[in-house]
Amino acid sequence: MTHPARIVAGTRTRPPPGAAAVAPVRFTASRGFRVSLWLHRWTGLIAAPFFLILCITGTILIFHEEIDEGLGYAAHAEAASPGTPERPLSEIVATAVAKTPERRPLALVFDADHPERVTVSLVEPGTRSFDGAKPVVLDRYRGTAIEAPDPRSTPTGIILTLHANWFLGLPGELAGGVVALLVVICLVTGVVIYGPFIKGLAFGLIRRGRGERLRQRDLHNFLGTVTLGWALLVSATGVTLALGDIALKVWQATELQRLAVAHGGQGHALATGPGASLDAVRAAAEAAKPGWRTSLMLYPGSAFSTDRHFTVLLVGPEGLQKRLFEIALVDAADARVAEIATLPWYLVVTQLSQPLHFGDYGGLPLKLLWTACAWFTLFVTGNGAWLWFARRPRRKAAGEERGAGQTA
Amino acid sequence: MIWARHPTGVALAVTTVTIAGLAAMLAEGAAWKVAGFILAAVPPAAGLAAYLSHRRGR
Repeated sequence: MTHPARIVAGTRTRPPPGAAAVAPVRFTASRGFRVSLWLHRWTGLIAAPFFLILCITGTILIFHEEIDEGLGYAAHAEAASPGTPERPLSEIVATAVAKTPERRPLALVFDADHPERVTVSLVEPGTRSFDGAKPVVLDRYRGTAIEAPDPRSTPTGIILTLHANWFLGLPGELAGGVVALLVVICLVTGVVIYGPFIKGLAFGLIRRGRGERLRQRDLHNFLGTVTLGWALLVSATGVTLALGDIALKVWQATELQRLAVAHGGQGHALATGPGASLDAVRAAAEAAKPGWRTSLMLYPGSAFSTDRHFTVLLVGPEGLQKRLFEIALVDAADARVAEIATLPWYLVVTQLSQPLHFGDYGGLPLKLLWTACAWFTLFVTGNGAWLWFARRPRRKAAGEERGAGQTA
Repeated sequence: MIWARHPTGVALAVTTVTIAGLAAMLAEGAAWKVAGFILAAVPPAAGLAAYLSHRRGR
C-alpha cells in the first residue's frame, strides 16, 4: 500500500499558553486513505451511542456472579455428603413437573460449575422452542427444588438481555451485530489512517500545552493502539455471537434434518410413552464418548431434536474440548446411540466466541483487565466523537472570517 | 520511534500479542493462564510504562 498521506502544511510554531489549538495539519491523501478516514469517522460516530450502552452493560456483566451474590440472587444448595448417590433423573423431572403440572419437560441442563444442580426446562404442551420456558432448579443428590430466581428476571439477567438483543429478540441481536461490525470497521480503518497523525511521536507521549484538540488526538491514537487487540477481539466475537441464533437455525435446517432423515426421526410419532429411562439415555451417550460428560439433554420433539431421539450435548474432559460439544442422538425407545455428531465449524466459532467476548475464564485479574480495556475503548470512542464535534465551530469560525474578509 | 515509523506494524503486533494471550488463557493449565494473561496485559502495561516515563521526563 502506498503511504496514505503526506504532510504538506502545518504550523510548527508553539502557540502562546492558553491558545485554543494548533493550526490543522493538512494532508494530500490517497483515495484509500480518504475512504478509510470517512469510514473510521462515520462508523465510529454511528456506533458510539450504542457502544456506550454495550460497554456499560458489558462491564456490569463481567461481574454478574459477584453482583448476583451480593444482591442475594445466587442459588445456594448445601453440599451433599461424599458418596451420596445421585437421584434418578426421572425422579428429579417428576419433582419439577409436580411444581407446574400443566407443563412438560423439554430439556435437562447440567451445571458444570455447580455439579449438584440440574435445571429442568418446562414448557407448555406442544411447544418445541424454549421461548417462555420455565426453569426449575433441583438438587441432584436430594431430589429437592433449590430456590433460584429465573435468571432472565434478575437485574443482571435483564442487563444481559439489553446487552444481547436490546429486548428485541432476534432483530435486536442482529442490530447488536451490526453495531459490533461497525466497531470492527472503525478499528481496522483506524489502523490504516493513524500513521500520519503520530508522525514523529514517541509511544506514550501525549503532547500538552499545544491545545486540547492535539492532546485528545494523541490520547485517541495512543489508547486506541494499546487496546486495539482487545477491542478487535471483543467486537469480532460480538458479531459472531449476534449470528449465533441464525447459526443454530442453519444447524436445525441442515445437520439436524440430515440426522433425522438418516436415523428415521422424521415423520416418526413423538416418543412420549415409557421408553428408555433418562438415566439410561444419559449413560448410553456418555458410554459412546468415554470421558465426556452430559451438559444438556433435549427431549424428543424439541426444536433441536428429532421426534424419536434425545439430543444429548456432551462436553469434553479438558482444554478446548470443555468448551465444545459433541452431539449424541439417542433413541428414546431403547437408549441406542444412533450417531455422535461433531459441531459444524460455525457453531464451533460461536462456542469459542462466548468466553472471548465475556472474559469470564481467567478469574478476577482477567475481569479487571477486561473492565480497564472496556473503559479505555469507551474513552477512545467518546473522545473520537469529541474530536469530530470540536472541529465544527472552528470551521464555522474560519468560514465567518473568510466571509468578513470578502465583505471588507 | 518505532511506533511512528511503523504504525501499522505496531498495531498488528499489539493485536497479535493480545489475542494470542487471551486465546492461550482458554487452555486449562495454570501455566497457560498465567502466560496468556501476561501476554494479554503486555500492551496496556507497556503503554502505561511509556506514558509514565514521558511524564517523568518532562
